[in-house]
Amino acid sequence: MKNRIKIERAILDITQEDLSHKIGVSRQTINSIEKNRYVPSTVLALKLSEVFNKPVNEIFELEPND
Amino acid sequence: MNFTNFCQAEYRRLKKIQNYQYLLPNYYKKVGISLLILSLITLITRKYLIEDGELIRQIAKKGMLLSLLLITISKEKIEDELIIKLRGQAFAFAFVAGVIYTLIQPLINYLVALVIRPEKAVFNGLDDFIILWFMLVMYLTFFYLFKRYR
Repeated sequence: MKNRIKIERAILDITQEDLSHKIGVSRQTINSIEKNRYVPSTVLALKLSEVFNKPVNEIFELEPND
Repeated sequence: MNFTNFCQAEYRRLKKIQNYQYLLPNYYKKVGISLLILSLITLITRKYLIEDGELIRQIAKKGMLLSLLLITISKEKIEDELIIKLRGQAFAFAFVAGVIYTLIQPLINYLVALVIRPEKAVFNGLDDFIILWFMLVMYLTFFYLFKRYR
């Protein structure tokens, strides 16, 4: 699964730390999601979608091998 | 109570246990570390300074297990879903490692004793302290490794 969190963060001009505070997780968790090491739960994905004001499937995208 | 109601009540009880928040607040980690240091100091002091301190040794060993348990079940500063996942994985690894250790370690002890002092080689099981200590230490090792490289 690919994600656009880094790009969306750049658009809003917020750091991993800022984003982590907004959705109530640690900075390392945001980093793991950005680096595709961790697939977040639906709840976390919806929180991200709320922060970025975009639907979840615009932030996360399935890859052929998923 | 008919059978359906009984099953529903059991199901609710099971869900209650499953969702039970067993973790302690973060400051218990400091309590655990303090108790661990205290237990270690007591064990070392007893070994070199006190002649007959079996009771002290037993208490210090229990204290060490309790302190490791406190560290194990206290929350991280930010207890998010990734940490919960890592915690589960670390518990699973520690459990499997504990079982394998319990099965293999007495055999290794016996074989080593056979090579070094064959006349004193006896096949003994492990005592409960060693097994629990090993599992708790394995849990903490796996958890902090997973956390570091999350």
